[in-house]
Amino acid sequence: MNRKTKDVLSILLIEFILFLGLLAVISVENYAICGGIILFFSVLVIYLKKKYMGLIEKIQAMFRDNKRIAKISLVCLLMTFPFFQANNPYWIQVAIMVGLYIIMALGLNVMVGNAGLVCLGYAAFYAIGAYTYGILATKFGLSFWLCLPLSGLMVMIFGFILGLPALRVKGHYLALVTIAFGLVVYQLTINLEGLTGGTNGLMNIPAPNIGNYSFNMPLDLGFTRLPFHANFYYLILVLVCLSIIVATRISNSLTGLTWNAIREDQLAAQCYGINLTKNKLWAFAFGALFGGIAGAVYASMVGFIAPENFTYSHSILILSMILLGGIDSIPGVIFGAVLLTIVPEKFRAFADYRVMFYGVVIVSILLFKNDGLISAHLRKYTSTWNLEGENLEKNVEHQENEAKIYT
Amino acid sequence: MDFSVVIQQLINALTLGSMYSLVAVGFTLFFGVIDLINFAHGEIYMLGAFVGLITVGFFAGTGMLASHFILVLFIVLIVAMVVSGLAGAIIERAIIRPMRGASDLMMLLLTLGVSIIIREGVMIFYPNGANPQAFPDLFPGGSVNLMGIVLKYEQMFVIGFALLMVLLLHVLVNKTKYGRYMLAISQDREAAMMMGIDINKIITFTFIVGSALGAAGGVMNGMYYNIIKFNMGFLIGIKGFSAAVVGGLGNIYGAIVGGFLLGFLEMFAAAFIPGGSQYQDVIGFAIVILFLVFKPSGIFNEKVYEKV
Repeated sequence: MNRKTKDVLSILLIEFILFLGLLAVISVENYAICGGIILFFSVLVIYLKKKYMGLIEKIQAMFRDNKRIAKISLVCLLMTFPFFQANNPYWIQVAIMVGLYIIMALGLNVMVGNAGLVCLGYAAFYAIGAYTYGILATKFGLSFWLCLPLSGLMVMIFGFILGLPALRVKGHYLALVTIAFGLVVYQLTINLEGLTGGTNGLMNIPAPNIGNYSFNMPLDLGFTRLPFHANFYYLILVLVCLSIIVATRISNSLTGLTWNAIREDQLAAQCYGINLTKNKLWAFAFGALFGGIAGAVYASMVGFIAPENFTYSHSILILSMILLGGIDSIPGVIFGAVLLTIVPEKFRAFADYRVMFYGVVIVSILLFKNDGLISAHLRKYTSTWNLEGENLEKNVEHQENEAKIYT
Repeated sequence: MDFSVVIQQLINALTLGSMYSLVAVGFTLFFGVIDLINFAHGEIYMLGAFVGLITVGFFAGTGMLASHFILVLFIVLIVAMVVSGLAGAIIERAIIRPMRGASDLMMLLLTLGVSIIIREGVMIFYPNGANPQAFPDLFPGGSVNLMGIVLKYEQMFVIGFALLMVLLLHVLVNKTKYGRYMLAISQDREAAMMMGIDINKIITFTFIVGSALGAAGGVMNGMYYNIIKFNMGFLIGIKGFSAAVVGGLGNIYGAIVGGFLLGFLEMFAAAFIPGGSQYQDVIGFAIVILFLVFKPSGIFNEKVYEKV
């Protein structure tokens, strides 16, 4: 057995154990046993870290070397999730919410993480996406697959609209503008009763369908029947994968680098010839796009939307996700979204303490580890040209020097 | 349009504006001294109202509410201001001081987190805190009727007390030693330090003053509307901040003017624009956004130049 196969097998094993752990945590009802499992995993990780120096780095390197296999196997594992929960759609529903929050957290990360534009009204984009689909589908009978891009487009337009005043202000003032934007959209969803149904909300929003097959029908696979939630689960899985790819590629691109430059110092970036207007507007529009897609899917899934689903505290929730995971770090953002959705669902008995928990999470993460649980690592800044031929050796040296530069 | 209606709305707007001003002053004080927007300030306002309610509860059975209402009122105000001032000092000492010098974004999110903790703490630990609480009438319900204009005693008290507080603040800042220290720190912190001013002490003092003023606003709100709720601090915090921005952050008089301006705009929008009362909050925010776009430095502030 050569090293490559060994690595692949151990990656599969690690992913499988983590997946089983997750399944165990969510399916065990008893808090004591559940806490025991979490404690066991944490102790195991700490023990391994102490016992074998550099184990984490080794595992990281292993995953880095076999990126493609690790990703594909992870997606395959996640695809089996509904089979384990076929009798209990509740956790499939939670998994869908996890997916939606991952998409939104990635979107907010484009604004706050990449471009450093504080946005405290992100739920507004979620709301606009949801209402766009809801109104188009119920009043005009358009299909979901047409509405999804339309919702995205609509939200991008609103992102531009929010971006326009945001061009003139920054820091605290920008926070104020975005809060005000969130509140204005919330008030409008309540007050425009003819269009949005007011506080009663918008009902009977149709589910997406492919041909004659509606997503509200149970998924019949011949050997087993999955609840209808599974349809949305697979839809969300595809969308999450797409969003992760898009977000990663944007933040690794020159645009991402430009946004980082704006975040670090706006004036200095401008001195380097960066077009602030264009880049900031695009940051808002791109970030908003994710929220709009998530909103449209949410509306189609639950079939009923009301202003109460899109309040200020939702904005804060998404913000605490990216803070917990690590600003500008895509794995961190995903981790934060997963953690902050599953933990409150698990401890549903303490639902009153939920928002308090978010507040404590925000304050403690900022006080004790303000770059998040999985912090953003250094940008590998390499030039892709001039790599072949006689300059190769010189270039590698050059790259190593440049990799040390902070983004 | 009837003239007396306009005057009536003017008085209502003055009352509303007094409360906004008391909150806005806190924002501008904090910003002046340590360049910080304290998003938890709205919650301090709410905390003041709840502490006031608890204090009133002590007098409920004794009948003093009817016989010595002025005394009760002042005890309530002082207790609320002292407790909230201490709360402000604790926030500064325990959470903001260790993070001093962190980026704007971090500080903003930190105070946001603190505000959530205070708000939810009141909801969870105050008995039946999730529901609105009735705030008893601390003032006899009479009113003066001048040519069809109704001027309630409560309104007179709210406006008068707010003006008194503003006057006291003016004296504090301009005539006393501590006020001069505050001004010195806001102009140049390092130079102030070199002159032997104990920066930490003055910053804590500023937080106590600002929070106490906010709490006074909270008690006013309670006795004027007779109803308080755990989440009322959020909106008033945003409005106080808006008022401070409109006036020019860092300028105390600007905050007061901004508070009254916001009060007028909201009141008149609600009263004279058809269907305006539904959009009362929206109009206030729309104006603030316009202000930020066209005159970000506010009414009273000079232009700040940015450096790389």
